[in-house]
Amino acid sequence: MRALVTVGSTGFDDLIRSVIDGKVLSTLYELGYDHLTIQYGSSKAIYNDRLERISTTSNRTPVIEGYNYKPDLKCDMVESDLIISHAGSGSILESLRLHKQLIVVVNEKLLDNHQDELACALENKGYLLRSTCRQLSDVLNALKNKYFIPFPEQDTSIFASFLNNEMGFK
Amino acid sequence: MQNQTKSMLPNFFLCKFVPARLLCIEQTFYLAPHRLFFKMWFSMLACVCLLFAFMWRLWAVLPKSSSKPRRHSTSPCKTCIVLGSGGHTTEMIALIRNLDDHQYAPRTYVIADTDSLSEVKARQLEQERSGVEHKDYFILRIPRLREVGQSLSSVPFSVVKALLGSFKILSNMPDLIICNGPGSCISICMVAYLPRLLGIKHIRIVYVESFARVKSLSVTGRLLYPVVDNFLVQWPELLETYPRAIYNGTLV
Repeated sequence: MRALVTVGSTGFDDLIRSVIDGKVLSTLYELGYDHLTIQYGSSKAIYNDRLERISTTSNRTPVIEGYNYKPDLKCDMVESDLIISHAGSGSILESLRLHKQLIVVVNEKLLDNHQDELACALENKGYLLRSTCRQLSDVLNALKNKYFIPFPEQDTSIFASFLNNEMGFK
Repeated sequence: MQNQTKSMLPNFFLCKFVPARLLCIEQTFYLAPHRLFFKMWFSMLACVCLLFAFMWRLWAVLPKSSSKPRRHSTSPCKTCIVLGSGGHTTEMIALIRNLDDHQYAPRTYVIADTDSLSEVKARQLEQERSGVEHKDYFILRIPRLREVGQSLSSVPFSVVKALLGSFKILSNMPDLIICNGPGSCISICMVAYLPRLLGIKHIRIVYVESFARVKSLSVTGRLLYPVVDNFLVQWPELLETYPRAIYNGTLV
């Protein structure tokens, strides 16, 4: 099985640091993920640094490949079974609509925590699992017995019918 | 003393043809500061009156709870769609995907002049929906309100530039403006209020808050909440704090 980590168009050092970590990688391997793709954005330095350290310690880890950004990130999302994503709403919506297992990692360093509000709200509805960088390996362990409620399909007719009503079209 | 006053006057007052009386008035003007104060008071009073008139008019045109449009339901509705940066554009494209091409026509896409990705997305959507035969849309470029990392001292200039650029939307007097949160919405809504204040046309403004906003509004949302005609949110939690908002489920 394949897992994908995505940090979005900027960087997220703490997420890269906690994903490329002995404990998290072995948990992923035990769960059956033998391939890990990491979209690291501007966190390239951390990515390279962590990768060097990890390669010497253990071989019971998934195969790791990484890139900074791809316009067709969606292809990689489609191919993977688990997505570990930053808390941006676009990325979350896209993953949920593909009906993937989703762990959203919130960035606690961001001052405006409305991203966390979204992650919490969606977790409460059972669509995804929310995690902080430190809790990641615990949340991965919880993945085994987790049932994800399927996210409703996109319905663009709601807004159209609302607007038709407002503008006097029937 | 007399000479000093004369030297302060513009040259043409000093020529022979100027009547003595006029010279007198000018002299008293310079010599009597209390008259200056009277003038100042008068102009201040006028400004306050003007401000009150403006506020009263603004209050009169602000959207009330039951403001239904008085327009003919069969004529097409000239629509202005404000596209912003990445996430906002993705949501906006989803929102307008199901709008009827003939009812909402022509469509004007307002895009910041540094944003090329939004234009690609808009053109892509138009091609998907209509094929080739009717190209009933325009792309309108306006200056961006604030670049990332722009120095604070140049902000007032770019605000004025953005405001002036937003006047372009009035060129075809749209019936409807749909916006969902990029900074340029603010200048566009300000400009869209002008015809309404002057009683020329009520341009309807519909604002859709992002799916990312669960408990608190974005800065743009908070600013536009009192002025837009319809304020849509995508989480029911927001209705408690913002009773005028409308929740119809997830829209994007």
